[in-house]
Amino acid sequence: MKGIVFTEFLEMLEAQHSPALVEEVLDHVDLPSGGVYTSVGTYAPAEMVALVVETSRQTGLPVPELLRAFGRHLFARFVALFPMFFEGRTSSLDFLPTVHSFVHLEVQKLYADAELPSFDVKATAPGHLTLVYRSSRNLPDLAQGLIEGAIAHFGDHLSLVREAHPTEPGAVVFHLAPKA
Amino acid sequence: MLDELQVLTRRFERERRARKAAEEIAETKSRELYLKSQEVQQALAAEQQARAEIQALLGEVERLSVTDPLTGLYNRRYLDAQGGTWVTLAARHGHPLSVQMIDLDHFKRVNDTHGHAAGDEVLRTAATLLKAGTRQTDLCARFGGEELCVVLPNTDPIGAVTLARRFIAALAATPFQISDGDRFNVTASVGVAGLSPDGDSLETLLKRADAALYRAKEGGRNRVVCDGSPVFAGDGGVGR
Repeated sequence: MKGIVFTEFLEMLEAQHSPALVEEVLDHVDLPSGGVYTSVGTYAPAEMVALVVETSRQTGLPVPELLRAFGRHLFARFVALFPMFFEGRTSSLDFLPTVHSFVHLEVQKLYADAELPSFDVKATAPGHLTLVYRSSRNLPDLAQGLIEGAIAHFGDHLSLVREAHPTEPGAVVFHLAPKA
Repeated sequence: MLDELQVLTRRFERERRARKAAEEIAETKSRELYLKSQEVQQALAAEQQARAEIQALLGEVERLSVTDPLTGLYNRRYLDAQGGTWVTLAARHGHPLSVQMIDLDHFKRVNDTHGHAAGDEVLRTAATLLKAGTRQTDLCARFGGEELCVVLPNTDPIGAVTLARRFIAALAATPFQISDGDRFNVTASVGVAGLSPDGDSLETLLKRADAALYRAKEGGRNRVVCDGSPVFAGDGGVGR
C-alpha cells in the first residue's frame, strides 16, 4: 500500500485529534516500519489495518465510521495534492468515471507496483451513476468516504446508496442518484 | 502519557527517518529511470537496424521482381527468361518471331538539358506509347538505361518494322514540356531482327537487332533498320 495513505491518515489524526494520539496509537501497534512513512514508499497493508483498529479503540469511533471519515478527508487532500486530475471536472458524475480510466492509469505509470482498487462505472440514466468497487484491500468504507468527499467537493445534490454485489463476494456496488 | 516535548521529539525523529527513506527512494527511482532510458536507446537502435534490413530486403524484392519500377515494363531478368523460352519454342516449331531493339536518341542530352525528372518522364511516355502500339502477346521490356526491347512472337520482320515505324512516329509527335516552360521532342532509333531459319537464340537475335540499331543511329537516327535489309526511315523514305 502506497505511503501516501499512511502519511495522510496520521496527519488527519494529528489535525483532528492531537499529536499525542498519534504517538499513543503508534506505541500500541507492532509495526515493521516503526511508524516511519514516506508518501512515495510502499508498506504492508496489514499496518494500515492495525493503525485503523487501534485508532478506533483509542477514540471509540467504530472502524467503518473512521474509514469513511478518512475517505472524505483523503478526497480533499487529493484535490489539493493532484489538481491536474480535477481540471475541467464539474461534478462527481463527471469525475468518478475518470478515476479508473485516467487517474489510476497515471498513478501506475509512476508506481507500477501500486495495487489500486477498480471502479467499474456505468451511467445508467442521466444524472445517475453506478460504481462497482473491487479491491484486494477490501476497504469499501474508505471507498464510500472518498465518494462522499467527491459529492461534497463538487457540491452535487446526489444521494449515495451502497449494497453488496448480488453475485460477486467482496465487491460492493454504489449508486449515485439525484436527491429526491 | 507522554509530555509535549516527548511527543514532538518522537515525531521529529520519525519525520527525519521518513525523509531519509524518501531520499533513498528518489535515488532508486532515478537509477531505474536511467536504466529505462538505456532500454529505450537500445530499442531505438534495434528499430534502426530493422529498418535497414527491411530496406535491404525491399531492394532484393525489387531485384527479384519482374517489372521495371520506372516504366512498368518487364525488366531484363524477365526478358531473358521468358523471351528465351519463346525463342526456343518458335525455333523448334518453325514459327516466326521478331525482336525490336529501341534506343532513345540523344537521351543523355535530354537529362543534361532538362534534368533527370524530365528524362524519367520521357522514358515513361515512351513505355506507354510502346505498350499502346504492341499486342497483348508481345513482351515489352526495359533493356537498359534508355533502351527498350520488344519480343514479338508469331510476327515476321515486316510486321515488326511496321509496328516500329508507328512507334517512332508517335514518339516524335509527342511534345514534352517541363515546368519551367521548355518544350522539346524526342526521337528513337530501332533495330529489328527476325528469327533465322538456321536457328537462333534470344542472345543471337538481340545481337543482330542491336547491329541493325547501330546502323539506324549511323544513318541519322529517328528510323527503323531491319537486320539484313534496307533502311526504313521514320518518315516513310527508304535509303541505306
